[in-house]
Amino acid sequence: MHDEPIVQKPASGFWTDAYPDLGRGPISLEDSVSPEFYQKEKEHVFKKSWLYIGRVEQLPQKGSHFTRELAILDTSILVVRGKDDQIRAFHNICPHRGNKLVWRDDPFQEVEGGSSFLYCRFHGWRFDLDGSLIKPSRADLLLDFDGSKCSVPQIQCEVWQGFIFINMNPDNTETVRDFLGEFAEGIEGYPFAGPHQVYKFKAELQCNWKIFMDGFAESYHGPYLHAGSFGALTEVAKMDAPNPYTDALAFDLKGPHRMFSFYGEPSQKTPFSRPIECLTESSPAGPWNKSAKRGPLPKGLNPTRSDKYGFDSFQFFPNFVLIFSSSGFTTHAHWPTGPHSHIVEVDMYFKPPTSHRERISQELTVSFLNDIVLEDASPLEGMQAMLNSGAIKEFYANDEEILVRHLHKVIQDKVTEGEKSKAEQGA
Amino acid sequence: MSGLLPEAFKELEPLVAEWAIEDGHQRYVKRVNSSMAELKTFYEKMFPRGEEAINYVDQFDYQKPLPADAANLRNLIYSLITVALAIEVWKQPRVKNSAQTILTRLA
Repeated sequence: MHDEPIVQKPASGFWTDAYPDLGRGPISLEDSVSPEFYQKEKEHVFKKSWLYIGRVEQLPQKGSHFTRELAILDTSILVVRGKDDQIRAFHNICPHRGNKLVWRDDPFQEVEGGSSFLYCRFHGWRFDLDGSLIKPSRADLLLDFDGSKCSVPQIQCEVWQGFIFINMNPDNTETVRDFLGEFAEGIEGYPFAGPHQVYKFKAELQCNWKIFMDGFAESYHGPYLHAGSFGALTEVAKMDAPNPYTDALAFDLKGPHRMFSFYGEPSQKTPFSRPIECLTESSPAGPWNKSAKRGPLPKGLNPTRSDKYGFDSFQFFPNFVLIFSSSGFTTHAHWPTGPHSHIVEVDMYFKPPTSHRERISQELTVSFLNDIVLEDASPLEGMQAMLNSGAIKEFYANDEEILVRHLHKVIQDKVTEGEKSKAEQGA
Repeated sequence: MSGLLPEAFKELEPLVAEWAIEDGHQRYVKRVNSSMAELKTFYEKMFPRGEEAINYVDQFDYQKPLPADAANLRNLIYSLITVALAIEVWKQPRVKNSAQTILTRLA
């Protein structure tokens, strides 16, 4: 169907040669260390971009809602499915006197729930699911009051393929689909709607969010950092030569977004399978497949059309990672909580098991991936502490680390641009 | 103690109180708060019965809730997976070099 590769390595043998504007030299670390940069990044990146905040399945019916406590946005977000089935986002605030609108017990914990209207516990004001005022309490006491101007403040919200995005910039005019661009087009048609078996994980790490994004932007660290878990590949992959097991099949950059495609045999028993993998007939790459073939894939997946294809990882600007594997798809969202800390959310959307044996096989995959994410995280807090020491000001990236280079460049460029236009407006 | 596990797995019943943990996060917390000796004891009792246990649980319809004794057995299998990674991969309760960090499993 889609037989022609859509990405090819430049004839020179270096991916970097396809992107002359990207540079090759050392990269400034300021964006992962400086508290001042963090404030600018908040202003020019997070408060001006489309941000992935959840899936439509989290809002199963009219009136369903969830909240997001996102420090980087300096607000709490309330997301609601309306009576018209439209999904809307609001600042989670009562426009009467400013009470936080939807929460239980602890105002700083996220909640999920549902109700046919929004109710403020402070003075009993009621709002419709579209944010408009239904009724203030004691309307007989209100003077010079225009209820049509008293709505829960709305935030731009759009849905692409079941992924809910918000944009804090009220002047934004770009649709989320246009923002996500060609990569989004290439993966439309994937069965995102499910049904899914969902596994969710979350952790707060004491490192800048980009440092962890970087860890998922290359596979070159595999034989080193993952020596304990993927030891089998270590020796062959450490040679100074192209390696089919750890070199990416493809890297691709489109605007502020990036992706890589990676090798992977069908998940199956190998000489290195551990006893628990043999018992559960499963490995981190997924339950062992009886049939190696996946269904037809959208044109943007497996861009080199390799028969050794394992997974694709898309990093959508700024902080949303979407990974496709034979088990299904996984999202990573990296939410800064400070210049040197962030929350990572890992949600796996797998095919629903049809038997207990399949569920147990998935449990092995999910449990193993949990540990591998921790292995990925293991260098980061020490690394951040050393970056903060100021001992080095720049870092290096090789040709397999082109996505790392790209992430830092687009973030730094966006902040420079934002500061420049602010200065021009001020002048 | 009886009826905690299906008859054929009766000798594993002493493991149920501590290790038949359905909640994925609690299971992981139990692992990282156990000593290697405790993990090994559980692993050595449970692993040899693993295949039979999976076969037993798998005979039930996945769409229906498991009987309580089979659910306990399934939860022991889940714990076996959690514990086996410590025994077979990391050789310690926590992921190597991960200090005190764990992920919170929400679902």
